[in-house]
Amino acid sequence: MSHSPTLETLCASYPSHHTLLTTLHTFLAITPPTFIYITDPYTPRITTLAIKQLLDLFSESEPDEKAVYAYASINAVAAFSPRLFFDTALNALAGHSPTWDNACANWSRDDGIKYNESLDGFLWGIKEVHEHLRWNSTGGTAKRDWRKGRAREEDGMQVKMILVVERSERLLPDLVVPLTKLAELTQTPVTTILISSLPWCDTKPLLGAAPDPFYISVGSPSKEATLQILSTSLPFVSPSSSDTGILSRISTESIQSLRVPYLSTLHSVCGPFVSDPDELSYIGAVLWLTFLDELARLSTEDNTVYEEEEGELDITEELKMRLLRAFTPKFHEALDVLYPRLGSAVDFLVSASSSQTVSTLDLTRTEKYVVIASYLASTNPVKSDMRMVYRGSEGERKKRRRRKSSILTSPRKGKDGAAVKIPQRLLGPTTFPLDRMLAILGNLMVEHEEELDFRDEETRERAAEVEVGRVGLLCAITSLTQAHLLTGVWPTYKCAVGYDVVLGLAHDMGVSLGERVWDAA
Amino acid sequence: MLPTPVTPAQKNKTRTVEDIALPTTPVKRHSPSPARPPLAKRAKLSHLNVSPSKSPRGVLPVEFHACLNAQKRAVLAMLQRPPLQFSQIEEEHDDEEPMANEVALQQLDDLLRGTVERGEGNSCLLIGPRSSGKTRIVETVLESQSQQPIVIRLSGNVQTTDRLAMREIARQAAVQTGSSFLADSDVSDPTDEDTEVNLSLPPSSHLPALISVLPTLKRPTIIILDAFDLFALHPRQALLYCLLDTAQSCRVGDGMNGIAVIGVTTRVDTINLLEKRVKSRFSGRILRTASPRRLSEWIAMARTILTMPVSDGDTNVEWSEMWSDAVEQFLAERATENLLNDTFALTRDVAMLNRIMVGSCALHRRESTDWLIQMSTILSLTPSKPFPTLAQLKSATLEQRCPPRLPFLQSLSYPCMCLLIAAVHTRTSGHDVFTFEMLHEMFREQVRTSSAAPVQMQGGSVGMMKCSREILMAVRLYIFTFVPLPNIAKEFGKYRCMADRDDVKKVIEKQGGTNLKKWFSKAK
Repeated sequence: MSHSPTLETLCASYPSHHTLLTTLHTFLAITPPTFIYITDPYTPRITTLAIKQLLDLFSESEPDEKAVYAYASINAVAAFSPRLFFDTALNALAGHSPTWDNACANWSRDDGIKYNESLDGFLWGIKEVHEHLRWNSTGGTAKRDWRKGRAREEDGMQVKMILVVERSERLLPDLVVPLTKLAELTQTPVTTILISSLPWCDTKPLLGAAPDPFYISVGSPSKEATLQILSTSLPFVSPSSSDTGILSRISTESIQSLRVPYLSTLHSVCGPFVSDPDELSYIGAVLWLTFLDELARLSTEDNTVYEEEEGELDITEELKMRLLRAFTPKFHEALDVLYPRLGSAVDFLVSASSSQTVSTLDLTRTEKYVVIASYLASTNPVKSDMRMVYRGSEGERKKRRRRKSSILTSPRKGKDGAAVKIPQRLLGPTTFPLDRMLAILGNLMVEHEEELDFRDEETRERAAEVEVGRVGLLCAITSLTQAHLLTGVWPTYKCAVGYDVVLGLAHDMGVSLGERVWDAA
Repeated sequence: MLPTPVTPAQKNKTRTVEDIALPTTPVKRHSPSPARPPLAKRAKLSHLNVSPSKSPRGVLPVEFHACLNAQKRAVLAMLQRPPLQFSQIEEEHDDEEPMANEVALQQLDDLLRGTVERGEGNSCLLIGPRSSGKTRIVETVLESQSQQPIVIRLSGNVQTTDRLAMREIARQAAVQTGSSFLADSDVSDPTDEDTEVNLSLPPSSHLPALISVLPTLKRPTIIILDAFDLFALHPRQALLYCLLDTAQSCRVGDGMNGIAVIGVTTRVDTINLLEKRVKSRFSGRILRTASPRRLSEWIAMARTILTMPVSDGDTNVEWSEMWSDAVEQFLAERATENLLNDTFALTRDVAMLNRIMVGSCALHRRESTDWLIQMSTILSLTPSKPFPTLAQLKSATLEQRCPPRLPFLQSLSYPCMCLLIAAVHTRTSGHDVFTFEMLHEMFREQVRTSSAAPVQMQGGSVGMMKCSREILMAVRLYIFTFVPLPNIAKEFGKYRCMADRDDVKKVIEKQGGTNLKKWFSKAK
């Protein structure tokens, strides 16, 4: 009851976690199950945050309660070795933080005993922490008694320990079963809470070694919940006071009143694509100052007539609507760049102001040929080389087969019920021997490279052979490999460049790629 | 200060379940329940019903809050440590043999009594399905012994090698006897029971000698091997051999104090895992535990747990009558029985029943917490449900019995839905394994088709939303499993979709727009 107001505020700040928080609260207040598994595929970080705050409520409560709470929250990614896991858990449960002064020693009840050497040691450590907490809570009157186990819990102070592991799908496999049975193994009232994005059936150990948990699942945040989280997590930045522009004439209150429509527009534009409140708040934080600049621009346009007038300016409804409409494309741009992390926030703002274009690959002529040839060698079937690339020395231009990629567009079955063939372009590059690529390269050069000194038609092919055997070309291959445009080692390589880039290069060189790729788009 | 929801005049009146909460479906009583309120009470009830406006229906009066909380505490505590033996139900199956757990309890008790009181060397295996009561039986028997034995608990999941197991035996024995007993007696400082226990372990070369001295300790020793089958997988089964050999050769009257080795496991063929020399030293006693056999036993168990009497001084006769009446009503409902029957047909796991009960209690508690918050913030008095109801049981069963395999599918963003539909299309075209490029190609194609023939609706085009390739790549999809291959670019990694067509269909119908539905329906 005494926690109710605080629990209430917690629930209010995390509306989508209401069920989780109230359930856990009532559990912790009385008798928690020994193993709880929380599945949250949408907002695991926020869930962990909320649970930590809930546990803080308990552990910071007044000691006149009947129970003492201690908790440890561990990220399974950070605790990548057993020793790290054990030390972090025990230090946090005992409320000990290693400091420089005490030589960064881990918590230990009796001097010199280490609990981090094996799982056994960890289990003893849990028991020792439990004894330690009991000892502290009763002011040193509790007797040490190993055997009686839970029977002694009835008298007086209870100690409740909670071990929270987030991203538990990354837990070390050896630790999972003991953690799920921690209370049974240590004979102490400890509760293990695993938080993961994956359901338990995907991560549980084999052979039914672990007991089934008490399941709690958290759904995706609703629109209101997301906006609530956004408005609490985004700090309000007002325009700098030294600003002498038009923004200084708009009151902070009216700027603040723009926050709600700003956030809701952000959500309506980006929400269908990204549901994670963290990502949304990142985009929102990056764009806020740009938004204020836009506000300044629009209100300057509006108020050119009244420039001489002093006093505060109001943001009219009409201005607000125009502002939001003008700003909507910015959200789209920011989403495209910032969500996949194609650039940092600073880069995005700079490029947005200067509108630079990204420079294409800077390659020499030979290197471009090599890239095109290796793409062809990686994508085309071996047997098609003769048809697709070789054009004969007599200038005989055979009508090449042109296949339209009707494969994926119409989901018909292939002949005889066989599966539809997928173009290699979509399946990824295959490796090719260097010789094959050189042959393709030679043919490309014969056809497209007019500047080479080929004396007459008869010797063209031989000259091209000489050309592809030059050291410079092998150097080009090496430098391309170093730039990771080709992968592999001599004598087999693989092209690591996508279709779009190669298309651009081919355009530069005057090669019509569509004719040469077996399954062109 | 909590506001009182009822007038003082009403406070004095006796209430029964009916005026506080009624289940949603009409209750059919099969027989007059013994817990039915007496006539006088019902008369008062009818009096109450005359003026229902003053007492909001379904709200628990303030004076029962403490009782409700105490009751919940008792029930939840009970659910954490479920009872081993159920209250006897109607004995219509007299001819059947007694329940397996009772037999096992009795046999194990006899066995340990032999070790503790007469110093015998014993060994046995306790086999039964998960959460059928193996560990609880062991704990119950241990607590009932006349003399406190030295109990050494090992688990095959923790002590993965024999060396670790022996170190742990030494450690636990040292803690319980108060001395590092393998250390020679010429170390002449007597260790005091009350001060720090000397936890120094014997040197590792002495460890193998340790097991044979276990019967010579001051008190009888009981060794519990949890996950016994895993110990049998250790090389040469050395630890099992030593332990069972010691137990077999421990004779009464040699000044020995008795040793018992109890193996606990779920694996039925564990005895076949033992090597011949180990098996010949094992006594061959196998005790079996089992889950309840009949639904009536399950329901009886639920009743025992729910009607757990409140232990502390919060007992209130009126409350407990009300509570037990509500529980009876709840359990007597046809729908409740059906639901429990469904679950029972799937699994007889007692832990499952407990989780469902905890779940319904937790939900129940959640609502009442709401209600307490509302009470304390003087908002309004909304009807709440202080007693277990069918709806709570239903949602708890759904959540606990079979949690959704793909919780991620409950709500999806637009890029996720596009990728899923494209994955369904690739599967239709005969490719279970696909790359990102294949999906993206389909998506691009679809966007092109939909924008080539734009559909106008209410003045706006409703073509497919565009979505950049990078965004599609960045979404986290937990439904695709990745087949890792070295040296493969991310877009060409091989994926497989775990969701069925029906799963996807449900999501698309719930969330997708017209375009997505149309695109999805193309995959036949």
